[in-house]
Amino acid sequence: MQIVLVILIFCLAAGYLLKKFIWYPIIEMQQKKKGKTTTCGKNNCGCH
Amino acid sequence: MAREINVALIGNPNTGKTSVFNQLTGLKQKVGNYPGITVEKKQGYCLLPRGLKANILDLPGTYSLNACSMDENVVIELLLNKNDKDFPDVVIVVADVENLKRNLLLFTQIKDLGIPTILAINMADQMARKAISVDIKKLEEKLQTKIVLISSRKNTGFEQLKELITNYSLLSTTPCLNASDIDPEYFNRLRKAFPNQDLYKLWLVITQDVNFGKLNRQPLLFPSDFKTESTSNLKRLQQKETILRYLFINEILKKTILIDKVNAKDLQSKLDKILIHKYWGYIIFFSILMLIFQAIFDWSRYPMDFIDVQFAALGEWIKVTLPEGVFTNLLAEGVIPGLAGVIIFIPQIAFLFLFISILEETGYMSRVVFLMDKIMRRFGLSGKSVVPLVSGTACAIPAIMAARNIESWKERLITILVTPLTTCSARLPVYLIIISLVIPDHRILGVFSLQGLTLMLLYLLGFSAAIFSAYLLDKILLIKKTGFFVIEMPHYKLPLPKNILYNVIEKTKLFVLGAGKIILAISIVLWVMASFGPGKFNEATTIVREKTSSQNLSEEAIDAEIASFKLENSYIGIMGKTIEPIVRPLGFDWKIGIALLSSFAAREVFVGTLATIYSVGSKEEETIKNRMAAEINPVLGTPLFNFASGISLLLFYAFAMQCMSTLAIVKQETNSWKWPIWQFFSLTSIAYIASLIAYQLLK
Repeated sequence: MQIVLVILIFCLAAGYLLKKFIWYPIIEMQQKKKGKTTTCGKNNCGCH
Repeated sequence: MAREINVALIGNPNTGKTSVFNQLTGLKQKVGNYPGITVEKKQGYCLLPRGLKANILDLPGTYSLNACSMDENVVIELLLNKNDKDFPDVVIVVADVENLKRNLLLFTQIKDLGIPTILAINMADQMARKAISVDIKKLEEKLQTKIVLISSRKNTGFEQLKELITNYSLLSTTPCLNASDIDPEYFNRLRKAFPNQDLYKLWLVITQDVNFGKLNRQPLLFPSDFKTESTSNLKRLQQKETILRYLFINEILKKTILIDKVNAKDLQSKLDKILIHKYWGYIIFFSILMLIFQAIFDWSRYPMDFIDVQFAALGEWIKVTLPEGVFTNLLAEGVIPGLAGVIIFIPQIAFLFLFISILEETGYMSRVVFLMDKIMRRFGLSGKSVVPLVSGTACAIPAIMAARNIESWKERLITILVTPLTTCSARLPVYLIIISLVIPDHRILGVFSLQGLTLMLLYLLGFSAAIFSAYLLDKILLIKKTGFFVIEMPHYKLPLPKNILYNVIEKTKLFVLGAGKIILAISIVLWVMASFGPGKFNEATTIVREKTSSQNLSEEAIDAEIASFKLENSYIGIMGKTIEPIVRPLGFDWKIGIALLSSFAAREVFVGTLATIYSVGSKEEETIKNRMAAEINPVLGTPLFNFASGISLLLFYAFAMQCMSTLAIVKQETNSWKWPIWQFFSLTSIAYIASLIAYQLLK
């Protein structure tokens, strides 16, 4: 029984880390690729 | 159900807008994803008379509706976009009683958008002392609005303000300035091309020097039958608008406000003479810094020790109380040490934010910005870079976002790139534990703690590294530099305990919840990886017993040998051993290597990781510090955390770019992966080289 609980908690923890550091950045990158406009100024701005 | 309305709080910087927001909403407020005053939208609610509920938005401070920076753009875009779910039913313009003229420029622009607007004159409690009298009735007549005198310090005028918000529909929306007066010919053409649009709104959309997020202005800029003016002509017309507005404001204020300068008791200029003095200013600033770091070490020692002991006892209690097994071990050796690694640092983090909040609230921080501007310019930064650099002592994420108000792109980019070098609160736990392990607890002249001074040196090292890097970047980056430095000196005031308390609670909560979840998850994953393994791991008992059969060891010593063998052959042990050749020249073993690796998710994970690794297989529940102090270097047989390896570790953390969230925010702010990747490799290489040199020289 204890090993089942450990596996469950491990999966939850690993899932949380994967979501935060891998899944979300991928989603964000895909959204950016769809062509959202930048929010910075057009004057004196070197970022795009 | 209560009827809901949207209320926007808008005003110039330093008018006490956030204090007004705190008074109206109390603790019923929600801050965006990141900490930092009014960089992002801050929302809360308050209940009004007659069952009305006001959703209150605290927007970034702005001087006018002509945006120069990205945070000012938030205000303008919201006011121009009726489809935005936060579009205000009523705006409260918070003005400072001593700078009414400048504050009214923003007020008149907002009122001209046809939105019901209330003028809340803040700091009314200062009026008698500053010998200011305002004819409110006449001012109301001239501006065709309702005005309320408030004091967020004394909590006066807020009931009247709530009453005015409730009756917002009765407010006049007549404009203060006829937009066509700016340039009749141009506005005539505008009217013909867009007959169904509000002229002043159109004018603002056309003249903004920023790209809107939700609002699409392309159809307004390039219709087939309308040719807009050149950028320089539009700028000229903007200036004309400002002049017309000031003529209007001057005319009104002449008849409604009286300032008796002879009777005004001007404490500000007397204080400024000392605090921004070319020598005393710096001496006072550095003395304040030293006091802060001494206090962080001395005051927080007792709660820190208390928490450490309590968690050790909790781990012991769990082991004794719960049935023996792998889940109990996970709780006692993985979850509890991991949690302790976060909670233990709450006192220091809270003290740090307490001091920063006091410096901001008193108005001293703006003096520091002014004081440092001269120095900063020499290194390619702006005086405004001081705010991100100082905010960076809390967290680099809001600090990098705070760079949005730097007008020059080059100065902003440099600030973004060097801010992660300042010592953030995530480094603090690492510094504190390493310093307490490797620096003796001596007092210099019987007053200054050597450990406190070391901490201060590390903060100064962070600032110096940031400034030196900025200097190099200024020479390397081939970007044209434009922009100007304008800073307002807010009045000195006694800090409001309520504001400071909210700030400390909010930022400490963000540290605990934000980092805490990551640390807990990493602790669990690490514990599992350290408690299981392939091949030899499962035959540890047989192998060790065979090996030690001839050595005549006690049962306790054999158990320790088995635990050590298991750890080395666990999944994490295998990983650690793989990277050990890279970290060994820095004085670290594979366990520290694993802690360094996991710190790339977030720095504060370091202590929790080591606490988890050291407690796996350990029979006794010890405090984190004791566990680390007891570790022995397997090669040299000396304590693992000695002066050389400690300094090496401190230097690695001082320079390395170890925060994924910061990299993500740099990518967002620069709109390119180029800068965060560059930042990651260059800073981490510097960290490695600095650690290597330090260890090789000191060992």
